[in-house]
Amino acid sequence: MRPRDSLGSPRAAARKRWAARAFGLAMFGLLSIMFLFQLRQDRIASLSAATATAERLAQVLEEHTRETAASVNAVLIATALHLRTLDGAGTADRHTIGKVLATNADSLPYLKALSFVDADGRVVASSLPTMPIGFDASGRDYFRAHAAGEKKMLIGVAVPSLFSGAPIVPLTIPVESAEDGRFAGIIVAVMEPRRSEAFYKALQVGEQGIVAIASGDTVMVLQTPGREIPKNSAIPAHALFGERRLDAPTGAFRMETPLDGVDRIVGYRKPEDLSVVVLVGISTSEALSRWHHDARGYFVAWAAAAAGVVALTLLLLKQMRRRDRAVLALGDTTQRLWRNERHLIRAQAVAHVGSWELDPRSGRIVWSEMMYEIFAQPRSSQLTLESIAALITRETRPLLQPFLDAALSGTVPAGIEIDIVRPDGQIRRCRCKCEPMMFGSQVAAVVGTLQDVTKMRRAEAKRFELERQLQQSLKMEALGTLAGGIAHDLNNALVPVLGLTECVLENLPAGSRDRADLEVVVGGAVRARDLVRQILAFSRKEAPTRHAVDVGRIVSSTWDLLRRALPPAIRVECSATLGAIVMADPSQLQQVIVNLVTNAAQAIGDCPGAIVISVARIGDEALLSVADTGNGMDEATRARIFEPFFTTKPVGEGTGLGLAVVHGIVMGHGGRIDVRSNSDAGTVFEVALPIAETHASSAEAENPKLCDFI
Amino acid sequence: MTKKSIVLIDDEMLVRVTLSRILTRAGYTVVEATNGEQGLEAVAQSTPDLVICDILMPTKEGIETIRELHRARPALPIVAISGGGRLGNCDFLRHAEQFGASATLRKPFAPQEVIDAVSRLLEPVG
Repeated sequence: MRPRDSLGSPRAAARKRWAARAFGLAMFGLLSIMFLFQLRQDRIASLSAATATAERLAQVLEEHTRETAASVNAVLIATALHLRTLDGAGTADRHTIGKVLATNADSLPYLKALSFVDADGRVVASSLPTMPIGFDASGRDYFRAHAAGEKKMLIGVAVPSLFSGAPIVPLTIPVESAEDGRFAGIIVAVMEPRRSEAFYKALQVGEQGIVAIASGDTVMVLQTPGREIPKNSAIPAHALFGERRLDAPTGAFRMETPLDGVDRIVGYRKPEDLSVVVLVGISTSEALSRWHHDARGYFVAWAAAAAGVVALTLLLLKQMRRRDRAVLALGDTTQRLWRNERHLIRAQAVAHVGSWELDPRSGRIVWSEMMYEIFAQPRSSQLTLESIAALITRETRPLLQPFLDAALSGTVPAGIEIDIVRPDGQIRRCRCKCEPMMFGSQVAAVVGTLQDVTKMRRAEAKRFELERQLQQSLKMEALGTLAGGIAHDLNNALVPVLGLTECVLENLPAGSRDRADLEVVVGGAVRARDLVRQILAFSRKEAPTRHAVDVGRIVSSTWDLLRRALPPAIRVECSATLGAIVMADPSQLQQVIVNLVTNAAQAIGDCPGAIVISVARIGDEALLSVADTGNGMDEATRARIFEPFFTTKPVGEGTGLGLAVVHGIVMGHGGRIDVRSNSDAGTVFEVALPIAETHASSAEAENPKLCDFI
Repeated sequence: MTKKSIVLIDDEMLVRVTLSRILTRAGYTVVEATNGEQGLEAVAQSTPDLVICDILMPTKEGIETIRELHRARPALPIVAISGGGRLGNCDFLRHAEQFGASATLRKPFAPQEVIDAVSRLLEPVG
């Protein structure tokens, strides 16, 4: 079978390589997408964690603020009660009030000062000695609010200290008169946020983080990186948050701080009952620093995986290319093998040579294609030595075993020729040769050939036959020439014998002794003449004239003549039937009969014997048979009797031409002649001539001149 | 009636003697010749009524002789005789007929055959 072309198709291989490349690329893409997705998810998680942190810190800050505010509130209320007591006793001079304020101010570390502002808005007394008495605070928001009846503590907008410039936050409550309960002034607690710096630091908002408290439009930054945003200073709210409104009680947002351009996540809370908002801002970049760190790890992992994928793809491609080359090479080899096999099959077909291999251990035989052709066996047939031997003719079968035995014993046997019988009965002559294949001292296999030499042998036989015929015809020509010459001279010699003896005979009286003698001379001369005519007929090969003649009539017309010519000791029987009509030269047919009977008589010789002549029509043949009871002949003689000048008789008694002439005449008439003989029971000659197509008989043809044979 | 004259051409002495005796006894005059040359001379000198000519002869063979005779004297009857052929496969007598022989005789022959053939040619009506 022809190998598939696709096995080594470079195009298919290239397609597969492209598929591998695409797979590698897809893997790379997938890895990258996974990497980016993970990166994004982590970033989102980091940001939300930062937001939660900001919110939580805001909550802590809120609590701190509330506690601080509550503490301050308590101090303020206690101070206010104290001042009411003084007021009621009428001992409220400025110095006494100052003492009370100083005592209460010391109760809280982050309180810088406590001051009392009277109902007119003027500073009456302060715990701080440097505080200018009489300072007008009536314009302050908190004063106006309390004067208007606000009873709750108010936290004022942070303002810079008059002395240090550092921001201070005023917390105020109103003071009522002990006598009539009317508005008597306010107590202002001044808080210095920087005194809580340790707490703000403990919030750990990062280097870029900010902690702030907003009140109204002003924001005081409590903790800050410090350069662009001044710590402990009051700055406008929009500088920190832009236009953002912080309406909800709690929340978080992300924005770029307008003041320093840093992106931050801000958590805020509005403490209940306090008029401030606390804020904690965490720098986004700081919040994402962990993520950045992780992303580097991810990138390294991605890069390693991607490099792995690329390397694997390249390795795969290399392997594929190597495999493709191997497959291509295999394809080439297969094609070459296939071509060689075709070549071998064709060569075997041309030479009519089959080859075979015998495995001595298993007895199995492997055949080439041509062997099946020669044996005309189907390709599916199971072959064993026995089955092959059965295909060989009985005559040549015995040659096979010694032939194989010799090869199996490790020698190269001489070639043999066997005849094999095909299933259709055709016999083929085959020449076998074989050689043992040695493996060490063991015969590993017997390899042989079988050549169909039928045509060759036929051609040889034909050539041999042609050579024989040529030789024969040359011999016959030479004999013909010789015979012609002898005949000519003999005829001349016979002219006076025959002619003059008859002349003398005419002059002799009938019944005289001389006449009788001369008649014997004439008889001898006639016999000599006939003999010469036979020689000439043989040498000349004239085209015979053909008529439709009845073989039976020819026999009966020759009968008397024969009877008289034969010795009396020989009994002649004749059974001739009419109707066996052939196209023949009557005189030649007569000569056939005469020659056969003469031959039979000579075979019997002087002993008593019998000759049986019979004529019959059998099928399309006229059969003339002449049987004698003579000596018969052996096989060697029988093979040569039709050769000219072959005779068994002593020199001078036979010409050896009689049967040769018979043979020539019968062949010339398209007939055949058979001889059956055996050394004891005499001989039978059978002449078969083809029956004439039209049986119309001619009177002239059936009335030959018998006088010629007298 | 004058005797008819016959020229007999044959290289074989036995044949010439036998035929000469048979024909002389039958009342013919016979002039013998041993080959074609002599035969042609004899015919030219004696103007015979018939010629008997052998085929296979030395010097000048019969077929050629018959051809020349027939060309010279087409009316002269010629009887060709032969004892067969040295050259095998052809029948010379049939060739002789084609070249002008009026009759043929195959050697050896009976005396009466010769007389019959000659008399038939010389006295066609009778």
